[in-house]
Amino acid sequence: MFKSYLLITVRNLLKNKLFSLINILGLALGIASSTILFLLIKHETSYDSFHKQKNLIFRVTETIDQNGVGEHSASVPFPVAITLQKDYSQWVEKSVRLFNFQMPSLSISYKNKNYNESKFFFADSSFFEVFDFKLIEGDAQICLSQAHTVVISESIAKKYFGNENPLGKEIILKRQIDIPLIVTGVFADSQKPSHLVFDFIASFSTLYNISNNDFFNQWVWNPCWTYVVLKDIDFAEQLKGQLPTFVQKYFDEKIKDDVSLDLQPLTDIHLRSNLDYEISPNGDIKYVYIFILTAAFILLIASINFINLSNARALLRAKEVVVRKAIGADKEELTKQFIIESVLMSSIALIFAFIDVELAAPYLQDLSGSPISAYITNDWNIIKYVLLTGLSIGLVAGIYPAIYLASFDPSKMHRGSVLTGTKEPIFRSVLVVIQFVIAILLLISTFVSSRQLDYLKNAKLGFDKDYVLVVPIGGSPSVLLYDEIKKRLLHHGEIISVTSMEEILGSNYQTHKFKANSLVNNKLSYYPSIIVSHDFLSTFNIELVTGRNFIQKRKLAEVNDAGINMNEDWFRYFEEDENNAVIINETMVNYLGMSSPQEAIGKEFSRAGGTEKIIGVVKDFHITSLHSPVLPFVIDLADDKIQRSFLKYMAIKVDNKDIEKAILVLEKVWKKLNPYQALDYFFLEDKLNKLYMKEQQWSKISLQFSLVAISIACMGLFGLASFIVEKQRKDVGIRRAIGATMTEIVLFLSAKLMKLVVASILVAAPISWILMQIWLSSFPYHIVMSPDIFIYAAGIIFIITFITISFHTIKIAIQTPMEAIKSL
Amino acid sequence: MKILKTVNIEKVYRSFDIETTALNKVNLEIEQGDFVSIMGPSGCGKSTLLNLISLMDLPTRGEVFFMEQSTSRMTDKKRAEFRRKYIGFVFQNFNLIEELSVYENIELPLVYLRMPAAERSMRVKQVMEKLDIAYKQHFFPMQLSGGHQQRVAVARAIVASPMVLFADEPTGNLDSVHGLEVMEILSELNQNGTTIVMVTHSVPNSEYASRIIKLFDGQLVSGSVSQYSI
Ligand SMILES: Nc1ncnc2c1ncn2[C@@H]1O[C@H](COP(=O)(O)OP(=O)(O)O)[C@@H](O)[C@H]1O
Ligand SMILES: [Mg+2]
Repeated sequence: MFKSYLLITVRNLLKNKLFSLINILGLALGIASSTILFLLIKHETSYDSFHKQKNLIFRVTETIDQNGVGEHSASVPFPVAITLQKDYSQWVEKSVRLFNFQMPSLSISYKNKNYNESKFFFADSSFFEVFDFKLIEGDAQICLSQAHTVVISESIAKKYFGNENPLGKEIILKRQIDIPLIVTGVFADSQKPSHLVFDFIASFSTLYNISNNDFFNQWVWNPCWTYVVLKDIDFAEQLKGQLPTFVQKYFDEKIKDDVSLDLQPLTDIHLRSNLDYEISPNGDIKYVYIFILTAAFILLIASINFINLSNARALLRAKEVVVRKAIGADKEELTKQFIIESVLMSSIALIFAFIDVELAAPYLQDLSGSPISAYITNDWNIIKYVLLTGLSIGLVAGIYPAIYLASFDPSKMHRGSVLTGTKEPIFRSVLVVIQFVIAILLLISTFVSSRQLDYLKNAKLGFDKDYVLVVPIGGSPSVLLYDEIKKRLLHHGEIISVTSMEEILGSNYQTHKFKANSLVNNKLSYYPSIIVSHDFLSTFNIELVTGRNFIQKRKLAEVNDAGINMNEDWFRYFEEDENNAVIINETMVNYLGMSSPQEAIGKEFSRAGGTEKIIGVVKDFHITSLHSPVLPFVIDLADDKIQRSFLKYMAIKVDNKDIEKAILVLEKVWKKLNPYQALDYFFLEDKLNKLYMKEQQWSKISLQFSLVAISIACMGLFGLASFIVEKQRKDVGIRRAIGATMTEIVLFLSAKLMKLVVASILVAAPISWILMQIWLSSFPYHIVMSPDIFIYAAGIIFIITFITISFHTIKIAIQTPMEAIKSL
Repeated sequence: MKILKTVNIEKVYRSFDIETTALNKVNLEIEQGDFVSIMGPSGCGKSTLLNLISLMDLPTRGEVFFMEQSTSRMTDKKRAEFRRKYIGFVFQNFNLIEELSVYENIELPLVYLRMPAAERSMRVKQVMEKLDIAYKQHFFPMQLSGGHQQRVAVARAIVASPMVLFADEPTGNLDSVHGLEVMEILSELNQNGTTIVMVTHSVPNSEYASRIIKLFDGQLVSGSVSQYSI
């Protein structure tokens, strides 16, 4: 029996080749797309879930809040880990710290090869006990137990040692002094998603060998990413309860009242943490929700499409049903036949979907632009998900037309009335409208997200980011050569200006302690700030509102000669800007409660024990990405002693007509002055654009899936169009007989279907407006929704749908009047 | 003027694998002002012939000249224009559009002629008066009797004052009283100058015609040329 059903099904599928094909492909596309989104969701939510103790591991975070300024830090001071473990040994099983001098990269050399490595960390020897990263060489128990040891990744081993055995090799970490490190282990290049991304793990004890103990015993500087393993998850709350006491007991007198510590579950870090000094860029739970919504939408569209097409196809076979019933097929048998057909079709769709996903898998990228690991794509759950959704859609889609058609009454059927007699159900039109509402929604979201991305990338930042080369110099001897490098660079015409800075302008900032003379906050507090060297404002073309720029003392004579008015007070105050001057932004003026920028000039704004005063106020500029609002901000000129070692980046403004030459100059000067260090450089603009990676990726994903949605919806419309047009065939013939032209007929037939599209546009517009408003409001700076977005989306949908249905309308319009009237 | 001329027209219907030759090398001329009746046994190809000369369908081979122009060389747009401007057609089974009211059905040809609304309404009223169906103008075809439906079909065919009116058994679905009425209308139209080509079974009806064409098994038996033109 089943075999005969199967045979009939296959015959039917072949008879309506086009229909079967778009029906199957539509479902396959829908399942494949939602599966791909499912993979993305799975990837984003599975960060750090492979660690055996994932539920017991917590990161210790620190908040310093001083009258609204301060920081939310992902890292804490050196002694926190050990002290917690010691004081609360009943709850804390283990702890581990990671440390990288807070440098963007560190210089490593092996023999005569030099590299700058950005994924280098020192970690306590417990690292491989806390986290489940697999070693492929060496012994996890002991590989980090000795000072001057390092464990490296497989790919780093290849890069440094080729095919030689890496164990026992010695590499040099180049700081002010050379630090030798012996390779004691190699770990597999990570397949599993983790917020910890590293190539080198050096033993923490190495640090004790190269610095004095005071360095590790201070309770202010907070450079250590610190993780604790609890003995039981229930202890988390108890430990949290003890943290305020802990802070009071140990933290430095000057800040302990402003500090609070917290515990953050390891598995929350990737999606729910957005702190200062994250160890690597995180994801965002917002996008997981958006993915879930999109996947649900696509699946809904695909199911509707499958139902609509199965239904329309079934109706075209109405005559067959009538005949079969007339010759005595009973209701159940017909119902069974339809359901089997539908399930069989969805099974074929499943095969296509699997092929689709398999083909796409290697190209899938997460929101940070990195490939999705095979670990995720090989998940058996995904396969179960695909099978389940596909088959249930097939079943549901089969039931409706089965019942509908099986209820046909053969006695009422005669030639010509099989189709004209059946009312076209409103239900089906509603389904089509739902499909199009979703497609339009996704299309509008594509427009809005790409415009927002454009806006973020091109917004006026308050400084020039164009043609600025950035060279990391921090954490290595290069920083000592900065003055000389600058001097040499400026000999060349292609180099317009050179400065250096603590963080990449526009991307990141630090906080430093200052004491303001203000009613709002007059104690020593952490303020968002950046330490810079001379020519900072001019290199970035940052506008001074009032006051003056930093002046180099030894150049003061030249300034004198230039005839600048030296009578102004502040020139006498600040003989040495390095020690006596800061520049603030307008928001800081407001924060300090001053009524005008002029009022700020000359006011005290000093480091601990320092004598700095405000010499200038700059217009607000965006010190971080546009995800955050502008903060009160301090620009401090580095002194020649300790502070200059804070300068991590050199920024070089180059002539836009001679960029290549400028780069050659840089390479030449660098090689000459700093032959033992690799030169890294990048354009500031590129770096800043990467801040919007998530938005960029989302914009790409959104585009892809709105295309998918539109094509599936069009397949549904295609099916409906064929049905509606078929029903109109005779009327078309009559109208043609009366003298209507083909064009008139095409327009007449299209009007009926285009009404549905117009209805969808009207429904989709307010919904998408609200959803987009919600999304946009998560950005402090965003575009305004403008009506032209809706007009474009509506126009695109309108044209695409018109073309889709033309296939049917034209087919009928080109018949002669009699052909149209007589058929069926 | 020879309003219509066919040269060796043939029509072969192809359904599934069976070919039916409905018309075989028919040559025919119709003069302006003729009242032609096409006769012959059922299935001999009368309707097929009517459809071809009224530009409702295309011949498989051969040529139809309408107002001395070759219709096979015309674009579809031009043929549609001819149908609109010069041709009225009364279908055997009325073929009214079910979704449109009586008024709208009659008005439709004028809409395709792009006639201004005021003039349309005047014309539609005139024809409805003439055929005595004005009081049914808001009804839908399903709500009318066969006789009324036929009158609406005739009204629709003549509302644009066609040069030639084609009718496929216009009385076939009517009782004799209503049938007679329709024949009177056609006859009056012919007296006012409209060329009429009609398919009929009935001998009494054929007597209204000035000329009879006889078909048998797809071939012309007699009446290929107008008596006047001989
Ligand atoms: N659409 C069609 N498809 C196939 N055969 C047709 C079609 N229309 C008519 N025929 C055949 O062509 C022949 C002539 O038909 P028709 O012109 O309708 O005859 P009449 O009007 O004289 O009764 C008949 O044999 C009929 O079955
Ligand atoms: Mg006939």
